[in-house]
Amino acid sequence: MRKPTSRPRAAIATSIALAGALLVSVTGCAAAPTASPAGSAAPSATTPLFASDAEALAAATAAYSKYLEVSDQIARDGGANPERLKPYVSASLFQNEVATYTDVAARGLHATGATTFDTLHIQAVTANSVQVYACARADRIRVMNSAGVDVTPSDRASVVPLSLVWTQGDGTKLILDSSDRWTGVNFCR
Amino acid sequence: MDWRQFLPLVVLTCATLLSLEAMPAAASQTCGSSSITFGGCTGAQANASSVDVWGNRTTPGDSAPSGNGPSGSSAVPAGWWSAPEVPFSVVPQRENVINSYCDLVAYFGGNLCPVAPQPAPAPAPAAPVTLRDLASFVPEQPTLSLQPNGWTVIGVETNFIAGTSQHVVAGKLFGAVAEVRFTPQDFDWNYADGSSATTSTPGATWASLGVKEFSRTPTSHRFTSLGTFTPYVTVRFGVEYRVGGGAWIPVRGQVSASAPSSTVTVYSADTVLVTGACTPGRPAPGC
Repeated sequence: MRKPTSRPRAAIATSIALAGALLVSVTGCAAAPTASPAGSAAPSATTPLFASDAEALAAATAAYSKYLEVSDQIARDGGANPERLKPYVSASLFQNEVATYTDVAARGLHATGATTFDTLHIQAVTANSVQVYACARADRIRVMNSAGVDVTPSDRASVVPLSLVWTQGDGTKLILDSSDRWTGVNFCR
Repeated sequence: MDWRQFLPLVVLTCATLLSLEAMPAAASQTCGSSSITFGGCTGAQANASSVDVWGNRTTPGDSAPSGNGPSGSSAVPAGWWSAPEVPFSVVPQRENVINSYCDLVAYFGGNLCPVAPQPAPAPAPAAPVTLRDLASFVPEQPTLSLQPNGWTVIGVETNFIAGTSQHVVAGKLFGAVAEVRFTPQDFDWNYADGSSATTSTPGATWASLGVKEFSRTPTSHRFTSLGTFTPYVTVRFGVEYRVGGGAWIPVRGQVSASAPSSTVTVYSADTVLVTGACTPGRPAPGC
């Protein structure tokens, strides 16, 4: 059985722990202890979904590329036909996305460009899930209004640290179960 | 120099560091591709006795409404600028946006901002404005009932029952319906006689359990000393939330709510032999 952590994850956990300790000691502000990223993953007692981290990472990369490709197309189409995303995401994430696209369509907005990502790290691979850290980048996608004016929110994050979880769908297909913003120390550059 | 001028900076520093440190442990912030592109990730966090659900929204620069009431424009969803409704046990808040140090000082009552002459109104396009909406939800208060009610006998089973069930509390987040579903999971019983217990059941009456009175139940307790006690129960709820309908999204952690305490007097009971019935007014010897 593989270890649930790897060198990058250990480095992130160490950085977060050190940063948290330093912030508290310097300021004296009371604060709750920060959870380490790897702390949420439990090692699987059964056969992992993939034989190696490299294999899991490749599958996650392909799955996230496809997800972004489809969701960016919906964004470029002004939120039309969001059901195109359904084969790639869980029901709860789909509902969340549909709510945003419905709002986007009502406001007459659309996107130009595409979302990119990098810095993928495997968090854990279990018998039926792959958990990954990723950095999604929005600096190449803009928001336009119906008049074609760039109305991209000025304070929109250009890079968003994420914790992504895929579960096994039909066959070897991966379904993006959750895409949560990592609210701890930003590991993206 | 007035030290109070630096108070906001200290407060901001602490608040920033607290947010950096405290949020990751229990925060769950769904952030799909659409939210990354257009803004508006929603999230929820379970606190000790409440759940905070939040979302961000940015008005597009040109289509930002100029008034302070519902626009009616198709480009602006209904409720965009309207004051959030405040249903029972929901306290929505709108955070202040502070852009500069002088704004921060002004927020705390200071005055560092330079006084600039008022410019003439210009038909400049409205700048994008980011609003953060936050709604706090608390579960309905459970109840506590006892069998027998208000009294018991030392060494005899007293049956405790918590009155609560799964329920949904609704509020508004940017005009959309935000809902939090509370599911009772654990019951912490404090019998006020120095003993306590935790169960996963709220308990039930002897009648509904189909057992004789004073039978032992999963939530019954035997008092071992005389006196008057004020036991209480704290219910720990599992939490899920959703905004604008759809599937429920679980939130890490539990939220607690306590029932008002009840008073119970513990008496002693002795068995004695009497010569006849202990009829009121005509007690037999030994009564």
